[in-house]
Amino acid sequence: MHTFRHGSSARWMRIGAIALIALVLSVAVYGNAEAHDQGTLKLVSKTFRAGDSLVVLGTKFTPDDEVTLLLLGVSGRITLAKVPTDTAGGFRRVLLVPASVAPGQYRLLAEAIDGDVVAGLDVMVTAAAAPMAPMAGVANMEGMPGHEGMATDPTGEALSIDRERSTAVTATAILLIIACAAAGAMFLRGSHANPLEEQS
Amino acid sequence: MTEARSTATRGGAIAERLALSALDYPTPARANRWDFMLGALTLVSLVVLALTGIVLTQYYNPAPLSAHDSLLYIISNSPAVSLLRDTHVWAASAALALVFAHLAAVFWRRGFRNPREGMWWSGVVLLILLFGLAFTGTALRADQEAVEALAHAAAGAKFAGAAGALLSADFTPSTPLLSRLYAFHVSTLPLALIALMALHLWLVRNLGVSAVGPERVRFTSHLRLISGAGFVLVAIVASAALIWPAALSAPGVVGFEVTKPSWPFLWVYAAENLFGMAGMLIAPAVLFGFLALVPITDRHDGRAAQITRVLGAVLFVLMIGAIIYAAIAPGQSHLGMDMGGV
Repeated sequence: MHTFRHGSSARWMRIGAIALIALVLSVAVYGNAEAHDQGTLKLVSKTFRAGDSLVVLGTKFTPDDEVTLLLLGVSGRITLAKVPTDTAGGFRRVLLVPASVAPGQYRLLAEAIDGDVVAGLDVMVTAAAAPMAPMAGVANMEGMPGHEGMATDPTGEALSIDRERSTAVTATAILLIIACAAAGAMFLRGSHANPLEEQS
Repeated sequence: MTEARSTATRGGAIAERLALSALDYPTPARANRWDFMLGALTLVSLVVLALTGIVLTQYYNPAPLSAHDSLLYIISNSPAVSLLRDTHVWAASAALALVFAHLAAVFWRRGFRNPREGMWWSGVVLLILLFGLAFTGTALRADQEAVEALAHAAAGAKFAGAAGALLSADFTPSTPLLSRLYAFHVSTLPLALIALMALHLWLVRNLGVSAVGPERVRFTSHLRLISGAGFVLVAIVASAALIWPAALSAPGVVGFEVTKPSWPFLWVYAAENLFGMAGMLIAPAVLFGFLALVPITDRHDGRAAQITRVLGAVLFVLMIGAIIYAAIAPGQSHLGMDMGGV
């Protein structure tokens, strides 16, 4: 009986020690994951040209730390600057966007020293002297309706888009609609249910 | 004659291998009435939404700066896919209209009473998920209405505190909010919908519909009727898509309120007109709170049941009235934004 109790106590001690180690490790990992404050990036305009200078405001970052500002997009990963944060976790920095950056959509990211992304912002880089470059990942949009309104007054009016539909597409759609309606009518006509007899 | 018999034998062999005889169970004859088919028709609309949505995922680009362009590309360069998008939008409207009609019919015939409380509550959550899908679908357009819907949601999320963190743009800095909403629209919400739909249908199968009367018919006759109505519904939705294509306005500009939401959200817009930003949370809280309480307050015939019934009818009329009012009332700013000269 005594031996049993002793063995049981030792086992519980081992379990307790393992649980304690697991707890300490969890706290350490969690503490590491939460080591950085999530900051906010602000720009005067989210659309700018390659070669332009760019004013970036940062707030709510970890105070007295350093963040790396970079562009991530069609030109890959372009590091712009390493910026120290002040005692309030903020910064203001004028950055030069390299003229070699290809036009397209990018994400302006702020990374902490260990590589964690702590802030992000969608931006558009246009080619020098071009008002709006074609979008990455989509076919050539030149001359497409709607593009001309991107920087104009907001409106909820529906765009007048030329919906060119070939006769084949329209005819196929109409045929499918007729087929559906006919199938529906056939099912509905043949659905006269006969009541089941009560089972005794 | 021999050929007909052979076809029948083949049909029988396929039915046997698919265990279709399991569908031949007795069901109340009254379930063949139209008001008992609204749930199934909602399911048909959801199937149309899923099928058209699968095609749209191959053309839509969920990156914030490319979303609107990809829609323009679909509309102007790919007419067949554009037609599927129009069908998707009309099927969404049909699903919401039908689910509300289904809800009203079940409420009126007290189909939520013992033992069907679970059916009712799963239906209420399904309704919330449908609203979530409608909202995320609107946001994906990246036009002015979408930008304003996102601004309202973000303001509501801020108002809701920690509960609204998911709708905050800063929730995950590495991924834009629109891309996350896209993930919700095509993955999270549909998966939740399928899971709850399975539960809902399981309960319908095993607890039965709330139709009364001793007369019984085979479920296959009910299924035939539903299939017929479903095909007609698909024909109507596709015809509407062909005649009235879904609109798309110019790319959204942040900081303005110049649009009204689509009809399923107009009752919330009306509440915002009356109560300001709080209305956006109060109106859904009142509706879904009431719906959640219905099986508890209306368990047996009596005063509480009568009050529940009257309150439900009043809420239903109020919702319809609010939708009409919001549709005709002049636009209002709820977030203190510029109204673009309105």
